[in-house]
Amino acid sequence: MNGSTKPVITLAHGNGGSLMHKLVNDVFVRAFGGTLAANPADSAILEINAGRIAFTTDSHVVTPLFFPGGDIGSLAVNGTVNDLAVMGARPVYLTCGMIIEEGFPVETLERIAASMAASARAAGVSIAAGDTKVVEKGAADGIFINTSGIGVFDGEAMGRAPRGLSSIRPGDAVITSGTIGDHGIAIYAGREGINFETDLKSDCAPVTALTMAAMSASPNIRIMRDPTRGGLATTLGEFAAGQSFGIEIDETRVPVRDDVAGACELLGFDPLYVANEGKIVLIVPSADADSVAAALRKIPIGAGAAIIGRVTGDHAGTVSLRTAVGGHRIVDMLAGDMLPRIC
Amino acid sequence: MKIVSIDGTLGTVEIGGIRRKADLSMVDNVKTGDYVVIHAGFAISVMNEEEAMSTLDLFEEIAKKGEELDRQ
Amino acid sequence: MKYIAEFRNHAAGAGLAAMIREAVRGRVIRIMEICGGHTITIFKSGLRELLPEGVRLISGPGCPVCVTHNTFIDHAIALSALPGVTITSFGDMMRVPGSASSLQKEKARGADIRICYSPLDALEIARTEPGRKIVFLGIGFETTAPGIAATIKRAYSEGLRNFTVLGAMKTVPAAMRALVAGGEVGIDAFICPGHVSTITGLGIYEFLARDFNTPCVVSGFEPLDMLRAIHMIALQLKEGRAAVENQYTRTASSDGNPKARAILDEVFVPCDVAWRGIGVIPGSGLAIAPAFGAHDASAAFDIRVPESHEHPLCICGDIMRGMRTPHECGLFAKACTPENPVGACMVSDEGSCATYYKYARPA
Repeated sequence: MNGSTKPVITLAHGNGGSLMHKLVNDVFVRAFGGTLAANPADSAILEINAGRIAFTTDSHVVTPLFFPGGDIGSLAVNGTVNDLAVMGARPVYLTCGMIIEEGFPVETLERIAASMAASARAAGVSIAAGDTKVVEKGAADGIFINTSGIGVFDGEAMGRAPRGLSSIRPGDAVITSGTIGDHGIAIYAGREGINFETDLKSDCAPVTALTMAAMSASPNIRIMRDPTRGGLATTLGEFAAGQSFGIEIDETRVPVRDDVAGACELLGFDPLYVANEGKIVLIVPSADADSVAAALRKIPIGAGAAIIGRVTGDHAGTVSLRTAVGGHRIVDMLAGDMLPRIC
Repeated sequence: MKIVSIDGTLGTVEIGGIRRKADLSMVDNVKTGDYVVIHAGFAISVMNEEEAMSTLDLFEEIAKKGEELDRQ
Repeated sequence: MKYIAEFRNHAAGAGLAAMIREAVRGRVIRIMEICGGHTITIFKSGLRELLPEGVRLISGPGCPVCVTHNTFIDHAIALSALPGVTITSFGDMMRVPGSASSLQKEKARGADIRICYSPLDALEIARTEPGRKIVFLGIGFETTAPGIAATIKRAYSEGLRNFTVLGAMKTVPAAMRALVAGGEVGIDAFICPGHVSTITGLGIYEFLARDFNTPCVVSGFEPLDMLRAIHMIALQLKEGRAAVENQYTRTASSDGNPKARAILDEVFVPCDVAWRGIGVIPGSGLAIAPAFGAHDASAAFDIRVPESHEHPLCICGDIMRGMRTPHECGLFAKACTPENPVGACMVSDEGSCATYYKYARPA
């Protein structure tokens, strides 16, 4: 609320003049300092020694801005880092574009910037360029952050990047790097009308160590993806859609934390559809499944890695679940919003 | 869900580590450690643990038979 | 998780499937379940696959959201347009289509509509926002109605005049009678609702066994519970018996919850109510008793509710009575999808169409 004595962002901060310059220096350069490549100029000039690069972009909007285990800043950094990592690339540079609503507290902005810097350091990336715009009250929900990222294919991972959808064969194994649904439930717990207490934290983290470990264990990874919005089910559905193969997973093998399972029971959610921000799902040749899973388990965030199913020649284009009592059901992609179920 | 604490007619109930409040005014003689069915914020029934165990025993017996069938 | 994970295992599923096959022995038996939670278990667990061909499971009108008449949504939307009114509702009502709009669409247009997990949350809003008129949408069967009744009692004793309930609560036995007496569907047995029974006890189903020769088994919600309940039904039919039996003994007792029923009797009176797709079933609704009339939203606001209409091609009613399946609906998976539902059966997670779409839609 205006009227407090704490400094807030105003429209003047976004107009390119001295106020904005000061903001960029005081908040962003100070926070990103160690990671900001070169001096801020109209463009960053980067030395990249590679014929191919991975290049991606993502915009981030999340409520609440700060949640157990992360915030919009760490989400923005790790989300883009992960999109690069699952292609087999080593993430190196990020940009950061912010659209800030007039009246947003500077202190909160500093917290977010610090979190982004810490996440960037932990992920081994530099924030090379950025942009700030300020919009009128009501034109943005607090803050929107866009991050674009560049990754390179070098070192041990060279030549081992996943081949892609067309390389998937019946018999291939489906692996998850750990428990599913942690992030989505951690976010949901604090929301309107849903109050419940839990120690659950988001799993928001860079997955580069996992993707590198997987590639060193197998040079023939078919595909990797981070199952964010829509959860594991949607990601597997995207793999299978329109293809000549189907995917079958075993309900008893999909790892779910007790508290996530409990929350899902309460709310009537299915963990298969709940978002993850620090996990990967992989399809690998069956001969490599055990060694890839073992390699993942050596990484701290991969301790719960499990082989959860197979690619099959049956029910092409769809994902099927073998249930705990031995039946089967189709696992569709998430349609519409999950609303908490009552009866 | 399991009752972990009681404060008058309000209880704190827990499942898999998730805790929330529930109104206990519609069930009688509950104590911490009891399992209750919660619906829309109210406890509507208390689990009979003896019956639960005998149901589980029945399923275990059936499971053994099921495994035998599998092997045949 | 204690008392949940133990009820799910392959071997017991296979064992029960074999026992059911043995009891059914090539006959055809049609079993209706009338509890949304059971519909979900059947689909989520892929139960049909484990059952012999002769066992036909039919989903009945067990989803309180699905049987809520169109007029109710239209009424709630009309109330939401009044100044100072806050509509509070269970989450699953938000996307149900009324004649022209839905609560979710109205919320996006700026109406003050909030999701509550419990009617007690709505009461709390009434306490903390005395300047607003809080209307709680009272949907549910005997499982939910006592909680709504208790909340109305509390509002009354605290003098919270800004809290009212727009009621559409319904009771199950009258609907079961209508389904069986109608004879259209040919039901051989019922799987009775698990949590409704914890409130009502088992006596309410006696008339079905006695007067209509229809076995009734109360079932829990885990897949093994339901398989066992189906087995118990198959045995009854094989032996030519018709009785009310209880599979869910760990939670439902023959006497139910007298305390909850006392609150129901105090706050509500039976009334005639229209079930969407079925029509009026006499005595199957719960209206707020005159003593608590100050908290009845249908009386508290002076508004005209526009006449309601259903999509002409929507066959939710037939589906809920078990007469047709979603695949027989011309709109299913085309004009009517979870993202854009036309009928209530597609919106609620427990609706037949939503479960068919999610779990059984052919590729």
